[in-house]
Amino acid sequence: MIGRVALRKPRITWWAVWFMAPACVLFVALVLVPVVVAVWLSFVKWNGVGAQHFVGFSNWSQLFSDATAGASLERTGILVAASWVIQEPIAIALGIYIAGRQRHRAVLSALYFLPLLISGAGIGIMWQNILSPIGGGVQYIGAHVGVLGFLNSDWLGSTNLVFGTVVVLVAWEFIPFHTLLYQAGTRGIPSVLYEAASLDGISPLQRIRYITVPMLRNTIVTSSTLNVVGSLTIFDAIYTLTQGGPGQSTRVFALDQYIVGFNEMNFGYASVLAVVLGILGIVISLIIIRVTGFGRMRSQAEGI
Amino acid sequence: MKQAHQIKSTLKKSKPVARTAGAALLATVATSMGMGALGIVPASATTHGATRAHSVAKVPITLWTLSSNPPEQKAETAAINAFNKTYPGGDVTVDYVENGAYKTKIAVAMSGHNPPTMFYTWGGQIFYAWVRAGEVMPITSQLNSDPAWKNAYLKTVWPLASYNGQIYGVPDGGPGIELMFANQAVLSKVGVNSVPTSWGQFMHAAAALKKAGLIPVSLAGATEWPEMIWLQYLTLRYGGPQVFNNIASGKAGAWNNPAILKAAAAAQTLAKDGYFEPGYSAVHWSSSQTDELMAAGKAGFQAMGDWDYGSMLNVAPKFAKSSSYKFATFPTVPGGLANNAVVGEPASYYAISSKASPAQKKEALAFFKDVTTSRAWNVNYLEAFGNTPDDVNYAPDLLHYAGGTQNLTFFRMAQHATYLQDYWDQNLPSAVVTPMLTDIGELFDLTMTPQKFVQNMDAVMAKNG
Repeated sequence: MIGRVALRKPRITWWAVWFMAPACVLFVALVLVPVVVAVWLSFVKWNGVGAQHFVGFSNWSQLFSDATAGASLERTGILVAASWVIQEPIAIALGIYIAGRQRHRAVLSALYFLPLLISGAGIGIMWQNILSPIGGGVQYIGAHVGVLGFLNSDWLGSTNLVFGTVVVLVAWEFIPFHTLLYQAGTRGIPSVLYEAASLDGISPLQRIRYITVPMLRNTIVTSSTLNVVGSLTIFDAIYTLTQGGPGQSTRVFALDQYIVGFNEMNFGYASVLAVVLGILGIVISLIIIRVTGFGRMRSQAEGI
Repeated sequence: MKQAHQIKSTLKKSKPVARTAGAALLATVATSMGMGALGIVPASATTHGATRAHSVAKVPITLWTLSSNPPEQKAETAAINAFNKTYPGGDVTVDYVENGAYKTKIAVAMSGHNPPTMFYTWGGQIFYAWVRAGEVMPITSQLNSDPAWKNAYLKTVWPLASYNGQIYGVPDGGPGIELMFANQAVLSKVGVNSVPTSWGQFMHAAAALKKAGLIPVSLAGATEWPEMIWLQYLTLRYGGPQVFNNIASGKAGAWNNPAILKAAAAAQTLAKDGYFEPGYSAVHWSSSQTDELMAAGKAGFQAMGDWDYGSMLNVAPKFAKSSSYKFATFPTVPGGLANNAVVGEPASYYAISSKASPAQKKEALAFFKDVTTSRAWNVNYLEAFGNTPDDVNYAPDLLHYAGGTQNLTFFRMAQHATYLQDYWDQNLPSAVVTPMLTDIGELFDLTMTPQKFVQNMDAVMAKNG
C-alpha cells in the first residue's frame, strides 16, 4: 500500500532536466545573450571596427534630444494604431466569412492568402515596382482609365501620401494572417450554442453579435497582441519599399535603429534604440494581457 | 563609386563563404605544417598524388566586389579565371554584392574581424577606419620595390588609398568623373543647339523644355546620391574646393557657408519649377529609369558620373552610340570660384585583409598586379563596358575601340582637371554621410530649407567630428 501511494506522488526526476536542455540552450544563446550584448553595447561607443569605449549613460542621454528618433517613434505609434484599427475589423469579418464550409469561400480564401506566401522583403520590392512613377502599373491605370484617375498619384514619392501607402501595404500583408486566426477561432465555437440560439429564433446578424464575436474574445486578444507587436517591429517590407524615404517620411523606429547601426555605424546608440524597442514591445504586450485578463487562462467554453 | 553607380542587378550572388573559409583554413594549416610557403605539398598529400607529382596546392582566396550588369561580370570573371590558370595554386573566387548591400556586408565583416582576403573599397574616411583598426595590410614596400607596377597607375590615385604615409590599396578601375549628360535631339526641339556650359544657359534651356512639355532633368531621387551630384557641383562652383575641405577636416560650422546655401537654393529652384520628372522622389538609379527617360527622348538632362555611358550602353545601346547622347562639364556659374574643377575620384581600389595567411597575401598581391595591369582587364573588360582603364599605358589604345573616344575624353578630363574633388559621400565618416544623404533627399523634396539643412549638418558634424 505504501509503495503505491509513493508512486502516485508527482516526482521530478533528474533526467527530465535533459528534455528541457535543448530549449534552454537555444533560448540562452539566441535570446538572452543578444539581449545582454545589446544592453552592454548601449553603454559603449563603437563604430563596428576598432575598440569599444565605455561611455556610461551618454548614449542614453542622447535619446532625449534626438528629434529623428522621436519622430520615428511617433510614426511607429501611428502605424501601430492604424494597423490595429484597419486590420482587426477586416480580419474578423473575413475570418467569420471564410469559416463557412461552402466551396466559393474556400476558393476566395485560397486566393486571399497569397500575400501570406510572399516574404516581407518580396512584398516591398514588388510594390515598389507596381507603384513606380515611371512604368508602374498603378499609375498607368490611373492615367488611362477615367474613373480610376485617383490612382495616378505619387504613391511612393509624395511625402504626404507615402505613409498612407505603407499603412495600406502592411495591412495587405498581414490581414490574411489575422484572418486565418479568426477562421480557426470561429470554427472552434461549439455548434450547440448556435443550435440553442436558433431555437430561440435568432437572426444571422444577432448570431454574430451575441455568439461569434464574444466567443472570439481570446482570439481577438491573441491577434491584437501579435498585430501591435508586429507593427511595432516591422522592418523588411518598409525597408525594401522605401528605405524610410523620401527623406524621413517612412522612417519608423525599427528602421531608424537599423540606419543608425548599419549605415551610420553607430552601434552604441543603435543598441539604445534596440533596447527601447524591446522594452516597449514587452510592456505593451503585458498591458494587453493584463487589461484583457488573458493571462488568467480561463476558457470560454466553461460549462458547455 | 564609379562602379558603385553602375549597378544594374540588385541580385546578390553570394558564394558559400563558409566553405571557402574552411578551405582557406585547411590551406593555412597545410602551409604552417611546413609544406612550403607557396603551398607546394608532397605528392602523397594530394588526392591524385600518383599521377600529379609536385602539383601545387590551391590557395583559395576570396574577393568581395560590387556587382554590375551580367555581361560586365562575365568579362570580369573571365579575367579572374585566366589568373587562376596561370598563377601556381591560384584559386580566386569572387562574391558580387550590390552597392548598398556591399557597404553593410563589408562593414559587418570588418566588425567581426573576418573580412575576405581581398575587398573593394572607395578609399577615404570609411576605409581609414578599417586601417586604424589594423584590418588592412599595408602594401607600400611591395609597390615601391616594383616601380613599373606602381607607375602603371596615375600619380593622383595614391592619397585616397593612403593613411599615415602607408599605401593600403591598388586601383581596380580608372578615374571617374561627374558630368552633365544630355539628349541633344531633345534639346534641339526647343532650339538649344549644344549642351549648355553655363548655369544661365542651362536654366534657360530647362525652362524651354518645361514649356514644351518635356522633362528638363531626369533625377533618381530615391537613391539620393544623384541629388548630391547637383548640390556638390553647385557648391564647388560657387565656393571653390575650400568649402568641402573645411567640412572634411571637421571645422566647426563649416556647412553654414554662403556657397552651400546658394547651391541648395539653386537646387530647390529646379524642384520648385517642376524641372524633375513627376515622382522623382520614388525613382531609383538601379532601375535605370532615368536613363530610359533620356533614351526615350522624354528628358533633356541628367547630371551623372561617366559610368552613365556604360549604363546607357546596357539600357539603350542604340541611343548610347548615337550622336544625340552628349555630355559636357557641369555648367559654370557667374563669378564661380572653381568653374574648371571636376567632381570625381582618381580610382576605386582593391585592398588585402591583414588577417590573411602569408600564402594568401602573396597570391592576392600577384592577383592585383597581374590582373589590374593586364590587357584583358583594362581593354577587354573595363574599356568594353565604358569604363576608363586603371593602367595609364592602355589609355592611347582606347581610340582604337568603338566608344573609346568617349572613354579617353573622360580619362583625360580626370587626368588634366585643375582640381578633382572626391565625392562627398565617400570622403566623410559613415555617421555623417547617412544623415547627409537623407537631408539632401528632404532638400530636394522641398521638406527642408537650405538654412535648416546646413544647421542640421553642422549639428551632425559636431556630434561625430
